[in-house]
Amino acid sequence: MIVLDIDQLYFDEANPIASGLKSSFSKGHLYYIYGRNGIGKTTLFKTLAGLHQGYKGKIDIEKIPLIDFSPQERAKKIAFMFQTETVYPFFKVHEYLDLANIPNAENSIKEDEYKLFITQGLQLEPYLDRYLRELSQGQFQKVKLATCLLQMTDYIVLDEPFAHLDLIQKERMNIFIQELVTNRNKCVLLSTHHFDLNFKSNNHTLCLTSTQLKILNENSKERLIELLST
Amino acid sequence: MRIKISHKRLLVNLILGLILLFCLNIFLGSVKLSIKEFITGLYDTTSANYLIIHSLRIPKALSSILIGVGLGLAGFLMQILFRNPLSGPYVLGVTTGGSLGAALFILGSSLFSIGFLHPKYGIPLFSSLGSLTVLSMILLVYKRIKDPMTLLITGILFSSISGAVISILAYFSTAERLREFVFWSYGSTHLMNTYELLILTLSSGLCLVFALKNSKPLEAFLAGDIMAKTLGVDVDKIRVQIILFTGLTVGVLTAFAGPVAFVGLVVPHISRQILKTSNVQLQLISVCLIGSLFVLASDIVATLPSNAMSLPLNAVTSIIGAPILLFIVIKTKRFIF
Amino acid sequence: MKPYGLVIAISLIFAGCNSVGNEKISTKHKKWSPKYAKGFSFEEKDGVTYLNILNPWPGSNFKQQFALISENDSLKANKSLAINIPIKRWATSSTSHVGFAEELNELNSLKALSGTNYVSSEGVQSRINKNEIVELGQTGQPNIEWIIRNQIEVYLNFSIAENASVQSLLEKAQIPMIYIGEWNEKHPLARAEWIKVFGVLFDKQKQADSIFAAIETNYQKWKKRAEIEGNAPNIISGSPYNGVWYAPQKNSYMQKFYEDANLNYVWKDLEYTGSLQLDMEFVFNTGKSASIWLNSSEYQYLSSLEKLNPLISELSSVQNSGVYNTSKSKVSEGVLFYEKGVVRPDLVLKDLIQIGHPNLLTKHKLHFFEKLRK
Repeated sequence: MIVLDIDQLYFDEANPIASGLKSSFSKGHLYYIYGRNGIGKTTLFKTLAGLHQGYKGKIDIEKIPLIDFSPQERAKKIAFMFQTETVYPFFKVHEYLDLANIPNAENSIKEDEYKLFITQGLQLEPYLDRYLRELSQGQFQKVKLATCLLQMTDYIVLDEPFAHLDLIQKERMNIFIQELVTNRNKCVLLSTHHFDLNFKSNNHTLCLTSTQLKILNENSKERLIELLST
Repeated sequence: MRIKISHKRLLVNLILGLILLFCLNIFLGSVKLSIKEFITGLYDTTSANYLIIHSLRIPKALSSILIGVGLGLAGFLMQILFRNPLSGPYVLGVTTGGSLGAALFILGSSLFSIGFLHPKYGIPLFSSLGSLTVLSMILLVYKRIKDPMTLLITGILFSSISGAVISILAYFSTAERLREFVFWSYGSTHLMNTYELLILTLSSGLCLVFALKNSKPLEAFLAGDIMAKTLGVDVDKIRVQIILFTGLTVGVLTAFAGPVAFVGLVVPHISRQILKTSNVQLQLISVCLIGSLFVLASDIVATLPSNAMSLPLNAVTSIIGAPILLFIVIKTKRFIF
Repeated sequence: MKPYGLVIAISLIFAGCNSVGNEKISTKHKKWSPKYAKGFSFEEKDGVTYLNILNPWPGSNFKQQFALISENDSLKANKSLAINIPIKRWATSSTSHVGFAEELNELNSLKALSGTNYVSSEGVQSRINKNEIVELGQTGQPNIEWIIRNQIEVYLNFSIAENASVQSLLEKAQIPMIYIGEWNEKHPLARAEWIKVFGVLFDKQKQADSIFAAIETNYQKWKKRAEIEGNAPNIISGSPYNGVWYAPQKNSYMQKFYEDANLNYVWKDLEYTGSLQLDMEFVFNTGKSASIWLNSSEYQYLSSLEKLNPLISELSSVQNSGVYNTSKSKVSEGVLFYEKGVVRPDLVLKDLIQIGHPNLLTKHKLHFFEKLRK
């Protein structure tokens, strides 16, 4: 379980972002995090990744503080997907996917079954030998997600995974992630702006405002909009 | 990790090409040898050509290979470090530090009476000190400001300062000394005895070992800072290590061979064109092979076979390298990685 | 000095020992050309004697003409092109001119020069150390202010091209600048013959003439002695650097020396301009048997040279201790060969003969060269 207990998230003393971020995230559950643009969703995720240090509070992963993890140990626990910077275009898709082996170099993916499951589930098989620069935005998005999942971590954090996807791709990806959470007992946090998503019993809706990270008891669009307007 | 057959074949071809070019390099020289003379010169210690082949040509060919390996590696690592195809081994400014060291010894010895030290030891010593100084300063700056862009700027700054000091030294020196410094700056494959070759092998070897051991983190590095960090790569540590190993390799190379131009810039591009993969391990081997081939070929041209004269090495590497780079840029139509 | 004295003195040139070179164009116009040198001549027109400087650097058509007048002469010639004979205060940009002045005992009139730490003459060096001779700075950009403010009468310039800026500045101050082109002469005796120019400037022609005559005789004598020697030993020159051998510029001056000393310069038939970059292989192949190597670096030990390239120790000249440097002065960084060696080619020739044919000169001590030690 990831336990968030952040009093204040900030860039520096003069630039606060959000406060009152207290929540916990368990394996076998999927968390949809909504929030206005610029409210701090990406920054929160970066904090979890150890990329951002500006916060007052505690973050624990399975009872161990985040700061006690070395980068390699953390990479074995949580995998991240960000809207990344420009990428080296000469990566072939299968080479980019192979990057996922890095944290687990000792036991690199011999589990071909799992790898097949991911690449098929995200319909990547036709593209495995293509260069990244030949892919569309949506296809690249799926490649990034695949790499993230192939790290085989228990916890997965996705920053706007549905960006650039068309309706069908979005639905498919959503269902795939839900299956992953349920069948493989993963814990997934993702941020999104899309609401009309198939919702399951182990799914949760959260809204990030400047004063709190509120978990909604029911998946209500009206309630969400109300919160977002505050 | 599966290596494609085509890649394997390419690497084998490169190795074969290297062996061939090595033999060609020692066969050709300003003194024209027939095949028979060449072969007798290889093993017959009493033959007139034995000395030429063993004391001049073979060390020259070996140093060409080592220079190619070192510069190819350094250029490749710099392009990864800055994720910029225009980076060459000299972008950190280490070579200008080496040039400054050499200038201090060659041009400054009348001012500072370093005359007791023979240039054979003096030049590499001072050049290494110069490179080391610049390298330390770069690492110091980086430790305080952890931004790769700053590295580029400090590299330019140190290069400018070194260049200015060299100008002043040159202004006050005699014609003979100035000429000596100019000749040093042409770069040279000559005159490496066994010790120098060993030192070169050691420094380039260490660099290669480091890069091979960290090939995966380096690949992650290519995918971007954020991606690399989320994969658990200690991005800062890797950057410092790249700077350190590249700086050492380039420093040693400059100390013994002078500032050889263009090789480190163009060889990674050629390698990327031939081996279309981002697999760092494969690229590392390929870059070493192509670098050796490039310098061996340049050395053959610079020798002007069967002619008493020879050309400066830097002139040849630039004349050969620049059109190749241009060709690659036009072929890929955009100057990306 | 009275005007007629000068006229008599100068007419000695025309009447003098070397009647060869006299050319009477008309009663009022006579010309005199030197025997070996091509860079200067004298002329007398309408009672005025002129010094002509011709082509002071390679490939030039540059000429200068100076009227030589005495102080009291009422000639209203353009003062910048007229020189008062004898000159009592002069400056120069080349240490080779010191050699000429020393031979004529004219060191006290030299007031400034460029490269004071390269003067090999002990007499001049001591005057420099007493601050009686001032450093003028770089050859191309001398301290003109100093020249103008210290009543320098004549500035002698060594230059490879026209130095118009310096020349015009000096002309404004009415100080003649003479391009001395002795270094552009191809024959050793031609360079020495410039002593006559200095002789005229210092009003010491007779001395200059007789000095040169003695040099010429001595030179020819030793040339003949070397000629009759049966074998001409092979000689190479230059210096290795990084596997490339830098041989000096194709130089008829040195070639003539080698020829007259009966030495065979191994690369005399190579066609090239400028200095020569030879591959070490080629040098080894062609120069291995040469018994003499005229080095051009600053190393004084054979072991230092051997470190430069693995094949150096295989050269015959190195193995048999036949490597020579131009020797340095005892009092400065100057090289005697470029100073006294210019005005005394006969001594240089003797040195080379001693090096190449030691049996001819058993008691001669080398003046301009020194052998490298192990």
